[in-house]
Amino acid sequence: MNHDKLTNHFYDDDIVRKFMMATMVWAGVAFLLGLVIALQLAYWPANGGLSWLTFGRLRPLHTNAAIFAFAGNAIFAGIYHSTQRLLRTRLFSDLMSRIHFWGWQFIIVCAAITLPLGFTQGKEYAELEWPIDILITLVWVVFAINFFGTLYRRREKHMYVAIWFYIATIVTVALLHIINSIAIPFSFMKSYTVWAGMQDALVQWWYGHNAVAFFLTTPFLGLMYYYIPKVVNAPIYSYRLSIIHFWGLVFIYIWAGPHHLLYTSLPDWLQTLGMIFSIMLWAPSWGGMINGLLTFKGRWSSVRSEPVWKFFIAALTFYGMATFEGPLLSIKSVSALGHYTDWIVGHVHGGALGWNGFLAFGMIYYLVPKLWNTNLYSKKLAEQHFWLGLVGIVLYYISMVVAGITQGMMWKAIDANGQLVYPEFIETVVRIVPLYWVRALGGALYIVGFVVMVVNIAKTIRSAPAKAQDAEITNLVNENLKDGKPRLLEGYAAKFSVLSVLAVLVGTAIEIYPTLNVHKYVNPEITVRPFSALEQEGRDLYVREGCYLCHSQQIRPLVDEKLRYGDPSTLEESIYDHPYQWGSKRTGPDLARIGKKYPDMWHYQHMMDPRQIQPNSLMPAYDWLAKKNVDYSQIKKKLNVLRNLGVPYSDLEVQNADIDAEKQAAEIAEGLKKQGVQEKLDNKEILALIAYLQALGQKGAK
Amino acid sequence: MFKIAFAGFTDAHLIVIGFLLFMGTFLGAFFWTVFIQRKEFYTKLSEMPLQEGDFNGRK
Repeated sequence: MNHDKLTNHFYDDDIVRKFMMATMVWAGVAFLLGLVIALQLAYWPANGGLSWLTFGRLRPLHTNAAIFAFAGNAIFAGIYHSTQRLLRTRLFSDLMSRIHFWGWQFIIVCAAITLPLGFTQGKEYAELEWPIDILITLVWVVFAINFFGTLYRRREKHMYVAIWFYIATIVTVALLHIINSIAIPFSFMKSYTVWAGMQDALVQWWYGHNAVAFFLTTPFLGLMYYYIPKVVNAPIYSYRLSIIHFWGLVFIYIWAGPHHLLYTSLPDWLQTLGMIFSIMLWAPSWGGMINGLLTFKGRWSSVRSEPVWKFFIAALTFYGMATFEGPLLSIKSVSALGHYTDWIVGHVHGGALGWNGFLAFGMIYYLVPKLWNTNLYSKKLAEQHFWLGLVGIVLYYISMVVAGITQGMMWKAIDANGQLVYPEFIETVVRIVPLYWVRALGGALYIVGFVVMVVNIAKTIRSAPAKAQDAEITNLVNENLKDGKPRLLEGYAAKFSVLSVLAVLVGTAIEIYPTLNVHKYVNPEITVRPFSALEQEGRDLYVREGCYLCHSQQIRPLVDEKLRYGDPSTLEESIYDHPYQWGSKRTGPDLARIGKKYPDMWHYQHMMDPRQIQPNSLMPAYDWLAKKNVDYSQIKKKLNVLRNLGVPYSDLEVQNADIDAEKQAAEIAEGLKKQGVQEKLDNKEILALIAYLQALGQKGAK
Repeated sequence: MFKIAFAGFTDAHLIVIGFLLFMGTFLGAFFWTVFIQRKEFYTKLSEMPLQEGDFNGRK
């Protein structure tokens, strides 16, 4: 491309406006869904008795909406706005920008339809099924071409540090998404991940943690490095520190995933590696936070009168808090207490609502008046939004940390005789329900603040000239060609991108490659049998209903867990699990060894109405499982795909999968009938789920 | 006790390699940033967000 042909003298601000509006729409959806599921945990009837409204189905929609719809649209708006100005050129392709925008919105709508219907891969933050995963890949490629094309035809010789963060985001998210989403479909909307058990856990949290790192951190840091100097009208405190911040963060973050799997059956060396690198993250994270905060040095008095400044300063403060708490929770002894509890939920929301939310709000308040060529309707309303949001986050965070630590300590309480002080799991749940109400109140306040912002922004836009115009590029001198050879790193965008990828790949290769040789870690004395056809059907239902969001299947080698649940889980027990279902939260008890602990009738009654078994249970009823038939038409295909992935099913087991499943279902139905179940249960889904639950912990033995 | 504690701790060399790679990269980036590049260059870079205005020259 000939750089001299850069004749368009206007930025493409229309696409920024589009992403900005989408940010606000999806923010509302994500926040409301969060409030609904918060209420469902405090008051179980809020599940509504409808399958697609239950916590297990809505929670993935909430997280996907918050991460990919709200934060996603916000970063696209900010990246497209700041990149054009930092490179002094219009975006590479108007058409690609529109494909990116509409493609991304289409993906979000697909997620909003499929997740409540139960189409899920059962992997946290990566639940979307394979056709949508392919769509995400395609749209991301369009975004990447548009971004790198813009970089290629820039007028600036050097790349500002924000651009570095954007490059790292684009290449790493592509890598994470593709590797974690590799799956073999067996129908239009269902597939099995190629990863199994420990492999899947590792790949999933390599992805999951770095989704936080490279979707919710690096792009927002890029936005921070651009917008804070803009609003303060002063350069960043230390550019040198920003470079060290970038390389430190990008290199370290990718290694930290295994801290989500401490005390699991993941090999010890990987757990330690994840913990060490997580602790090292303190340094670059705080370097970045301090760099941002010190940019306000000498100007603090203006914070009183400028709500946008307040949002940015609070965002940086929450970034500092979250990045202090994250490494703290990665220390094994702290994780032993905090993992599986609401402390983690509080930690995540401190980052999401405080860091991502407030930075996005600050950016919206800063950008909307400029993009629509007007003034903000009301600073006072923006102030009110800030304080409502801040009080909301504080209530949310404190209630969840207190709930998490309280429940964690109750789980661990052991008396002088070496027995659990609270042997009934429900005792520890009932104690924290009042804090669930406080959390819902905090979330509601945050939403009220958001509504105030929407009103303020709507009135701002209404006061703008009828047709918003694109901003003119004021300096058209092409310095990228004039000064001769560009400098190393900043000058060569392609070389820089390769270096960023290498920094990420080093950690990826060392962490993931050895675990692909999973048999190296398998104890040959332990033999494991795969699930029967009906049990596998039940497992798919378990994934469909999102049971893994409240129940773990991983007993840690800790005294209290052994007393409560039985022997620690072994790596071998989940070796055929596609996907793994270790979970990350215990709203209910661990299920790794639930099999044969209770009779079939107990499970039937529990699924029909959990209050029959446990009067204080928070779990929704799953009575539709006794009404819907199992779809046996796919069972042979399912077993065949699993066999191709290494699950040792024989030819006979695959060929007779439907017959075997129906036979096992009939046996369970007969047993339930004898115990007094009046309802006709032939081939109903509940039978498959009972078969699966009864198989848990029963498939592997020394 | 040390032996028991680290009985299941295989592949320690991978941790060492990872740590050395990180330290090498970090120290390299640190020295390049602090000692090789000139301060004026960073000053120029840090002012980039302030150079290009938005609509009607608003910054």
